[in-house]
Amino acid sequence: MARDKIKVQTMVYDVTDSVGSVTIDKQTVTQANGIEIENAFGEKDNSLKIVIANTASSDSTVTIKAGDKQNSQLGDSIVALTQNAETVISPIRDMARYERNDGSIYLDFGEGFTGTIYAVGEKAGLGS
Amino acid sequence: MSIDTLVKTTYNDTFRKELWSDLKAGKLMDPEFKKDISIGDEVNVQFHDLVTLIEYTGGDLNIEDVQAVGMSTVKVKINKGKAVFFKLDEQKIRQIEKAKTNEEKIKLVKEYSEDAREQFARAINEQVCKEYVRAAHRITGKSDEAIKVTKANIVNIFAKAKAMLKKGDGKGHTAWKDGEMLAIVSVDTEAFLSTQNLLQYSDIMAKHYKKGFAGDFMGFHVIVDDEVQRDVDGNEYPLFGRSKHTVAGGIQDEFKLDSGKKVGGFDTHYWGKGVFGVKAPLAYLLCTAKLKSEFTVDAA
Repeated sequence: MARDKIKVQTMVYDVTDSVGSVTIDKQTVTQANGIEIENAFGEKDNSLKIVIANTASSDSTVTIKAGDKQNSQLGDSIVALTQNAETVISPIRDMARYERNDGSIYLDFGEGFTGTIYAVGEKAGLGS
Repeated sequence: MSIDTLVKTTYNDTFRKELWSDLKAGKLMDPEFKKDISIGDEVNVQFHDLVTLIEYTGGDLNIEDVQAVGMSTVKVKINKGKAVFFKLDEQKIRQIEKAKTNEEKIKLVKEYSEDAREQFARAINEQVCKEYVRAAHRITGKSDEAIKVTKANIVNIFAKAKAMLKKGDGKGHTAWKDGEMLAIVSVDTEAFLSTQNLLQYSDIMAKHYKKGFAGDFMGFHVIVDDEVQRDVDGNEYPLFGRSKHTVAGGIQDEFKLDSGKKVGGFDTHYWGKGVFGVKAPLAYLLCTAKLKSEFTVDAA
């Protein structure tokens, strides 16, 4: 299976640099494919938020897969997803557990899951 | 020097100097004492990614084979705090004032710092013991069952911990350093260790016993700590790791006291706080075991 890829959507700040906002694009999850979040930790310090809507009529789970870095030995983490509800995953405090060599993280979804996902964060580096 | 100044100075000085010696499981922690940290602060622990060797067959290296070495981060939250709040009545202050020498005065004042320091150290030990959940190396029975500790298998448990830590991350990075390894165990597990013939009849071991240490075993210096964690089924989780390297942490370096008298009051009140946070940032540096350790006279 080829994972469906999403990018972290970053905030744009107003002209007075007082508030940031972003109009989000949601990705519909194909359970069999799973999701890859590209460059998942490239945003500003620890501001990644993954938002998953479980539109199924039963509870489900998302598995954050162990990656390639030093703490991958701790293994996968499973987060519960309540039916007909949105779950925010944030902050990820042990990036070395989940990050892959290319900077991405992998998510797998429980059998029968239907819903959407998006990831947001605060932009790091130059520019607004 | 006023009694008020003496109390505060003695308290602050002895707290930092003697805290380290009070730590047990806390000795797995890097003893870096940070200033100006508050509850809620985060300390970033960063480490370089691993560098992979490539095959060399002669000639120049290909620029396309260059490996970008990134950083990985684990965050340690400073989220634990303890406070001390006590008062000295006039009678106690007169007792300190009338002490004949400065040494006697300091001795009286230190009584107030010792208990708080020990409790603070215990709180740190407890948090370090709770880090067993972040151990990459877990020694368990079949299907994650607890291992029933016996006189016969305790040496195997330590040998397994040693082997796992020596293997480290399985990518060439060992967690083992001769002379620096610690085992944090419960009193019951210490009792099983005490029955090992190789530990007996040594003057040095006898000295260690007096301090609560079981001595050295399989390359580990054994420290007994009541804060070793237990689950709801009574299974305990000792820690195996490297002194000053396995756990990262931050401790506010001064348990700085303030003092004052309430309006209309005669007793002097003293108060201060200390905050800290601990975390095992690199999981492969920590090993634990799921043990059923109940020492009885008839224990096999």
